[in-house]
Amino acid sequence: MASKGNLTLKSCNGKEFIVEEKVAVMSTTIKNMVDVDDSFAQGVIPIIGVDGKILAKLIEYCKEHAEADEDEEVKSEEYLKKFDEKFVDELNLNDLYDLLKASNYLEITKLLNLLCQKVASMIKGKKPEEIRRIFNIKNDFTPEEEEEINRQNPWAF
Amino acid sequence: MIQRLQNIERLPLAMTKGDKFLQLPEDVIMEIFSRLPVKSLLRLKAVCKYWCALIHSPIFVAKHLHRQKNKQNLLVHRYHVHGGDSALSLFPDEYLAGTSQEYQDHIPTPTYFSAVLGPLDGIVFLYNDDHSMVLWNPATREVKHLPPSVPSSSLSLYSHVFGFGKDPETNDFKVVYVRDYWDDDVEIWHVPLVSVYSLSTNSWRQFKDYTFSSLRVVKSYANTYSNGFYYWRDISNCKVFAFDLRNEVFLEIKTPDTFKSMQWNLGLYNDSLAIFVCNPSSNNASVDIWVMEAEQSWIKKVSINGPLLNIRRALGSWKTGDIFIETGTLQLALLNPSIMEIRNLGPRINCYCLQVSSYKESLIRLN
Repeated sequence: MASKGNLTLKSCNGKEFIVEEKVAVMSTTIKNMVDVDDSFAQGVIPIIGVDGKILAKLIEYCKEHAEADEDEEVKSEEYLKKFDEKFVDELNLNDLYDLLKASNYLEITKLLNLLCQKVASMIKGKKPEEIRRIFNIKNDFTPEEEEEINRQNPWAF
Repeated sequence: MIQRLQNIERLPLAMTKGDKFLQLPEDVIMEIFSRLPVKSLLRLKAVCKYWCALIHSPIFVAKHLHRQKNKQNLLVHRYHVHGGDSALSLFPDEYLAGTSQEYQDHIPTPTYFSAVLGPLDGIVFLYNDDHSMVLWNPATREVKHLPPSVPSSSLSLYSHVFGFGKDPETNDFKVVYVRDYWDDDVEIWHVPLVSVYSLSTNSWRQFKDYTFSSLRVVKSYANTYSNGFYYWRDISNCKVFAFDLRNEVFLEIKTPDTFKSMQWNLGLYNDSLAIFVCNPSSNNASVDIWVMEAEQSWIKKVSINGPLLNIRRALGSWKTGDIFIETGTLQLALLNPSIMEIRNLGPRINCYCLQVSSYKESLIRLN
C-alpha cells in the first residue's frame, strides 16, 4: 500500500506503480476517482485498458509536468517544451495510438493536446496516398467515388 | 449524427490489420483533425469513407470552427482611387505579407462590390454591381448564388441596405434586404419593402415595415453582426438600428446624446457591438471605443489620444487588442493603444481601405 501522499496505479497487465498524488491527479479521471471515493486513495487504482509500458510513459510525462507546475524555476517553460518535443519524437506509431487512447480515457488534457498536435503535423500538407501509407489505411472508395471527390476541390490536391 | 458515422463501414475496416488509427475514439480523431487547415481537410476526405463522413459531420464542422487557437486571417476590402473599382483580398496574417487570395481569382465576376458583409463563421455575403448576391466561403471556394428577390413592380428603387447574420438558435444564415421606393406619379414614399433570405430554405420572405427604412441608416463597413442581431448607425447619429435575425423584426437602441455631434461608426470589439468615435484633428487626434453592454448601456473601453496620431478613420479591432486604422495618407495601419505605436501594414497603395475584418476558415457548406 502506498504511503500518505502517494497513490498506487495498476496497469491492465498487473504492473503496479507508486506515484505521488500530485502526479497522478494530472489525470482528471483519477482525480475524480480519488475525490469521490476515499478508498482509492488508500488502495490500488486499476487503470483499465492501459498496459505497463504505456502507463510508465504516462507517468514519466505527468511527473515532469507536475513538477514544473509546482516550481517554475527548476523546470522552466523552455525545458518543458524540449521535453515535450523529445517525448513525442521518440514514440513509434503504435505507442502514439496507445497513448492517445490512454490520455483521452484518463483525461490528461495537456498530453492529449500534445499528441493530437503531433498527429496533425504528420498529416498536414500530405497527399491522400501518402497518408494512407503512413497510417496504413485502406482506400475503400470505388474509382468512381474517388474521381468524384477529387473533382470537388481539385485545387486542394 | 454519431449514429450515422458509426454505420459507415467501420466494422469491416476494423477487422483488417494495421488500422489502429481508425480504432481511435471518434472524439480523438476530431481533436486531431480540428487542428488542420481547411485545405488539408478537403484532401483528407479522399483518404477513406469514414474520414470523409466525419469531416462533413455538423459536429466536426462546429468543432473545427470554434477551436480558439486556429489561425485568424485578414479580409481586406479596398477601393482604388484611380481605377474606381474595389477588390477583396484575403491575407494569411496582419502583416499583409505572403500571398493574398483574391476573390476574383476564383469566380469571374465584376470587381466592384457595393456590399461586403461578414465574415461570419467563415462566410461572406457579397453584392455586385450587376445585382447578383452571393454567399462565399473563401476557404472551400464555394459560392452560393442567391435567387433573385422580387422587387415592387412599377416603382423606382431609391435606396437599399443589407444586413447579414444568423439565427442564433438554428444557425441558419440570413440576409436582410430593405428597399425604399419613391412613387413618381403620386410623389410619396412607399412603406419600405423588407426581404429576408434564409439559406436553409433558399428562399426570400417579404413583408412591409414602416419602423425601419434604408434612408434612415448608414451602411456598415465594419462587421456589425453580433449575437443574433445586425446593426446599422442611424443617419442622425443619435441611435442604432438593429435587425433581430431570430424573430425578423427591427429594434432601436439609444446612444449617448453626446455622440450626436461626433464622427463615429459601428464595429465589433471582442465580438461585441462597439462604437468607434474618431476625431482626426491634427492637433489632438483621438479614438474612443464604446462597447454596448447589457440593457443598451454603452461603456467606454478604450481611449487613445495624442497630437502625433496620423489617423483618418478607425476601422475595427484585431485579436491582440490593437486597432486597425486608415492613416491620413491612406495607409492601412495597426495601432497598439498601450504603447501608442502605429505599425504600417503592407505597401502603401493608392486606395481607400473600406473594410478590414479578421477571418477564420470554416468548412460550412453552402449548397
